[in-house]
Amino acid sequence: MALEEKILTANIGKKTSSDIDSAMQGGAYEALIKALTKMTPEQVLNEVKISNLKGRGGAGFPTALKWSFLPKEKKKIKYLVCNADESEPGTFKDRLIIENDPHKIIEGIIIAAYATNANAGFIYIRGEMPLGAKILEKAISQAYERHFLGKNIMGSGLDFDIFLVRGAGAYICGEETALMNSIEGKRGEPRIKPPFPASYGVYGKPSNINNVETYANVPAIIKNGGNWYANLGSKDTPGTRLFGLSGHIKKPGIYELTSDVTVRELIFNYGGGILGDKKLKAVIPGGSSVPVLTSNEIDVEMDSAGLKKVGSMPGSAGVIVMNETVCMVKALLNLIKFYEHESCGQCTPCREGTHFLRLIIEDIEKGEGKEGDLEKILSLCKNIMGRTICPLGDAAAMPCESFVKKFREEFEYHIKEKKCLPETIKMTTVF
Amino acid sequence: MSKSVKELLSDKEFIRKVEKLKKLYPEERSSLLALLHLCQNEISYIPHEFQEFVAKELNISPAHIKGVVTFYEMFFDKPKGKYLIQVCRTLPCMLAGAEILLEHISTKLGIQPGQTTPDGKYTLVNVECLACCDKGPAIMINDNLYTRVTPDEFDNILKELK
Ligand SMILES: Cc1cc2nc3c(=O)[nH]c(=O)nc-3n(C[C@H](O)[C@H](O)[C@H](O)COP(=O)(O)O)c2cc1C
Ligand code: SF4
Ligand code: FES
Repeated sequence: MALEEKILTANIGKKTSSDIDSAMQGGAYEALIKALTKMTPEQVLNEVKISNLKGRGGAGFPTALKWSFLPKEKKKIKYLVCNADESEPGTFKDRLIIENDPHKIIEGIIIAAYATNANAGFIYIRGEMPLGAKILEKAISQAYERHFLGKNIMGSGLDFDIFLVRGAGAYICGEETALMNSIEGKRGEPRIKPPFPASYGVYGKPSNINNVETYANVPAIIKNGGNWYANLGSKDTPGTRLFGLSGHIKKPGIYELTSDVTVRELIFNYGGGILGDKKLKAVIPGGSSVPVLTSNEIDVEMDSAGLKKVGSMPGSAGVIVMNETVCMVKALLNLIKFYEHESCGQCTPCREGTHFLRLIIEDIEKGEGKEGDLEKILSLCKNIMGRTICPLGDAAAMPCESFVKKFREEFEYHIKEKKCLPETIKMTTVF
Repeated sequence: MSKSVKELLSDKEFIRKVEKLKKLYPEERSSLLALLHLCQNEISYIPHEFQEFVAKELNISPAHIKGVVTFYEMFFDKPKGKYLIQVCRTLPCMLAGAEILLEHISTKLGIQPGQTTPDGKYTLVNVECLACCDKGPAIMINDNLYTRVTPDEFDNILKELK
């Protein structure tokens, strides 16, 4: 049974929680003060390691391990980056923290700076969040006023600044190295790795990048201890996550729960069941880039181990629910158009692959599909995966492959009959 | 009417803002996106003259600036309407009814995505996920986000736009 522990949303719902005074009444910066006055940087890093916190940006990489890749020398310039570019379809959790509890993010970043001896941080927020940018800007300046940022923070010897950078509309800038290029005033094109950001990041300096929600977990870990966190919920992905429910669901929204919640519980217990009282058809469990699940595959937990059993992964925890009125060909066409549009164009398999996938899927959708199209889709996917500079190629191929494999009969029907399955001709919408 | 780029570049207040942004980051080049946003806020697009101005200010080639302006979806190098209507088209919004909404908006304004009304008031574009998928269909008009937008609701919003 999943826990409804409130770590990330404890202050959310209180009207003024973005203001530093209210935030501090809710306990903000207590963990930072504890770290700076009672702990060494090594102890802070160690608590995060014990907590087994995994990145919330999509890949689930262990956070403390990533921090430990930064060079230890005090003299070297090091940067921390906070990825607030949230733009994966189905994902809307970071916005909640940014707009309602920005101090939690800032506090998490400063604690990380103490643990890693970093000199400055960047919060990269997507251009389409002007309100979030304003709120963060104000929160950062309040943190300076209280001397949680700046020189010799609270007499600890730590000097740390945070800079806010606004993006300008490009999903690919969420990819860590594209984001760093964007911070440098360049086109958001991913860099070839290695070198990895820990040795060559922003301005070519060692850099660490984490998602908004990842940093926001850090204060609670420092306050309550790594062991407390490690024992919350799932073994492989402990702690709570902000699960975002969207699509054909009666109560869409964000639910803060531990990752041992099953897909079924999320949809039926928390989300109130399927919109239109129809049958569930498919679920994308972790943002648009992860493989889709059928309605028979939802009795698994929302952590890596659970979703692996059904060939998927928790990604960004954005759960997109589709009822029986959804045409899977049309749904996939929508997804592949997104990836085709967002490919930065550097790698041929991604640039051309997403284009050809879109053409084939579009033909099937229009009733112009041909025999052999599904084999072509699967072979294109194979030729994209693992052959590109950044994971966007895989992110485009995984939905295509899983849709075709898991809903093959529907795709075949579309090709043969040149039309949608009867029950999918009129799709449920909210109005 | 908004200012011309000439007027903008001779406006002392504007130049002060430029100077301030240039000093905001550890390295000057990081202010490029902010400078482009600033220009677009003032005159709704980023004309060639401004790109050349920024190139000189930051000591970067004009070709680089052009590359950046054309890479990012939010930057316009040609004038756009007074109101930029961005309709989210990705899957969760589609499931909520974004296609019906887009068609309604398109008919109502008499333009297709990518076009501007002849009076220069509205530009209609499709956008990708706006990160509020639980409240789709979502649209943004300039800096304002609107959620759960039904066709009727859109008509009401339109009435408010002067
Ligand atoms: C195409 C693409 C888009 C991405 N978008 C985001 C994003 O919007 N936000 C995010 O935190 N991570 C995003 N990521 C993942 C980041 O590259 C990176 O792994 C993450 O920020 C690391 O943070 P974490 O370790 O805290 O998860 C994206 C990755 C790819 C390949
Ligand atoms: S995989 Fe696609 S998005 Fe990533 S670098 Fe290559 S072309 Fe660009
Ligand atoms: S899909 Fe429209 S806001 Fe996410």
